[in-house]
Amino acid sequence: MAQSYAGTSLDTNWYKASIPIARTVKVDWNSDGDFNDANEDITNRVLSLDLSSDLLDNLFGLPLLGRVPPARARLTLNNWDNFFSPDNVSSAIHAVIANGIFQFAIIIDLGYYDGATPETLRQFTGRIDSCREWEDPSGGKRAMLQCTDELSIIDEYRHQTALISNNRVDQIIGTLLDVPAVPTISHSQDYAHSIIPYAGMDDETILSECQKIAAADGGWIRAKKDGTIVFERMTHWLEATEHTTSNVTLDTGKSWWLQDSISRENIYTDVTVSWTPRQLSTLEVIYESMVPIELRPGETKTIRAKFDYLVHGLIDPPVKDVDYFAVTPGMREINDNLVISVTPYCKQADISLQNTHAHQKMFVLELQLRGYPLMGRETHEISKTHDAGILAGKKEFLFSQNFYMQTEIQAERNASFLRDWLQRPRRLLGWRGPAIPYLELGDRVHIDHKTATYSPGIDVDGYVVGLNQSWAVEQMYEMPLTILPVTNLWAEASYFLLGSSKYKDSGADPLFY
Amino acid sequence: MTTKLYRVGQAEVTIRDPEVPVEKSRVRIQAQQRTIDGSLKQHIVAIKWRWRLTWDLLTTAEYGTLVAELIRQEAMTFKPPDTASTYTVVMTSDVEIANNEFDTFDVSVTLEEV
Repeated sequence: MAQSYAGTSLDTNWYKASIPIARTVKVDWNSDGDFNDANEDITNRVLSLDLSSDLLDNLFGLPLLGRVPPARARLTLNNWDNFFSPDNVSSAIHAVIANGIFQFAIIIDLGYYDGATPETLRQFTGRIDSCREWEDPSGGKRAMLQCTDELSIIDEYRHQTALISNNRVDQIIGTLLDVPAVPTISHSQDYAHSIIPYAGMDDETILSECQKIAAADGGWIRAKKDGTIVFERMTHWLEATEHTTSNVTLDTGKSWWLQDSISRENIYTDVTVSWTPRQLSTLEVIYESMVPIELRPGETKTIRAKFDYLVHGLIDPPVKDVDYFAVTPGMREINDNLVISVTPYCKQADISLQNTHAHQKMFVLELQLRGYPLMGRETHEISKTHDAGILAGKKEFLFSQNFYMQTEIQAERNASFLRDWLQRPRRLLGWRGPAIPYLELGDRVHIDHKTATYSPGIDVDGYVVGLNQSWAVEQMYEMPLTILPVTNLWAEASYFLLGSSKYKDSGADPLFY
Repeated sequence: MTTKLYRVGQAEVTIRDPEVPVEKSRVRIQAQQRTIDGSLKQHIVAIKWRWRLTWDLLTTAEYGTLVAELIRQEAMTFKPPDTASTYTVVMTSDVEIANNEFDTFDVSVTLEEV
């Protein structure tokens, strides 16, 4: 949603004829969670910066479906005193950057001066990925920071869970985003449309799994400028004010570049969505140890058991004489000297074995685990064909191989929704002008360029699906946008909204898919 | 009127006042772009001072004091003759020196506020 600019004049100052730029860049060098310590304000060292964020994935185009790439920031810094050089023992931050500059939290605030008062809004919250420094005789010493938004925290965070059953998409995503303890993630989720019968993680990264889960509901997850990770459902743009009414009008007096492009890439005649129902099987042996497990007197050993299937309802603890036999080297039974516990995940388990006997070595034989494997049934497909009749021939978009597509209603909804988005050629408008600090991805804007293209020109509302910013000393603070016009994007002009629409015989709004 | 030029944080060095009028300007660190309807937009980062200073007929002693400060390769503290304020400056031009008859020197240089 658009950022609040209450108490500022940013909504009119961004297009003033002449205005000073306000900016603040801070790095949490001591990782204490604030940006108030000495040397953490690096604003005066910044020579240029570029911020990029997109809902559109270059590879996949308009079918947004979960895959929102992380926002990135690139800053060029004046390093005349080797402040950012890990080898410089005289640098004020040497103690914390001696191993390199990465993983530090960074925030970027940008805006304009209102008279003598700087008015800025948060434009980027993220982590430093890398720092490159160089030197040349004409340019002097420079350093470049490459940064990724807060999605970077979960991009490489692998995790295991027990099987989660019958949770809504937003509940599952919320649970997964609560996993990283340091740093904690600020997040919020729309109330999802779908209940996923079975979900679970087996060493996948939290980001990739959240993206799949979001896609299974027709939505996506992304990080906002303030670092909050949000799940936005399929109907998100039909609901909040910043998406239903325009936040700003971009006319010829406020723009210095406009591009109109239409690509065949984003139009399809057919959409096919596959789904695979899952169900629990009968109680089965899901893990067997093929070798005896040796335990010295008093020894505790933990082994990791990997399963071929997702498993629910593990028999815990395993039952003696059924799931294992504990014996001495002389094959005397000592089951009661074995303390065994299991930490189950959906596709693996950690089995802790302790030999409590004071003198006897123990062998655990034929250890097994039993549980209820989750079985996939036959995969079904739902196809929707275009009714706009614009593209000749056949060009099919396939949405398949998503584990979380488990119910027919998910597939029906996603297929219908995608068909309406993809059956018509979509304009993508490129725009450049002075930066509008309060715009966020997804915000609705109005393009009023009646002179920029053939009469009657462009006079439409659209959603911001690409939002970049750039600034450098002696260059404009500008904001290249990619805008997806609203026209024909949805099958109906308005939909029935709980709490605001009324059920009646005629004139009522249609229900969403 | 007193003019000073010395290393930041170091002992003050008084140099001879430059010739009058002292040529100075307000430099706008800015960018401009015209919009599609032709109107001009300007973004400003800062406004800084720039001085174009000349000294004529410096004695050998005055010349030595001045040039010793001008050849330093670091930011300097500058107190212009017409104000009590001091500024941190760097040299943004060559130091131009003319050696006249009778062991006198003419010097000119441009200083800019950092």
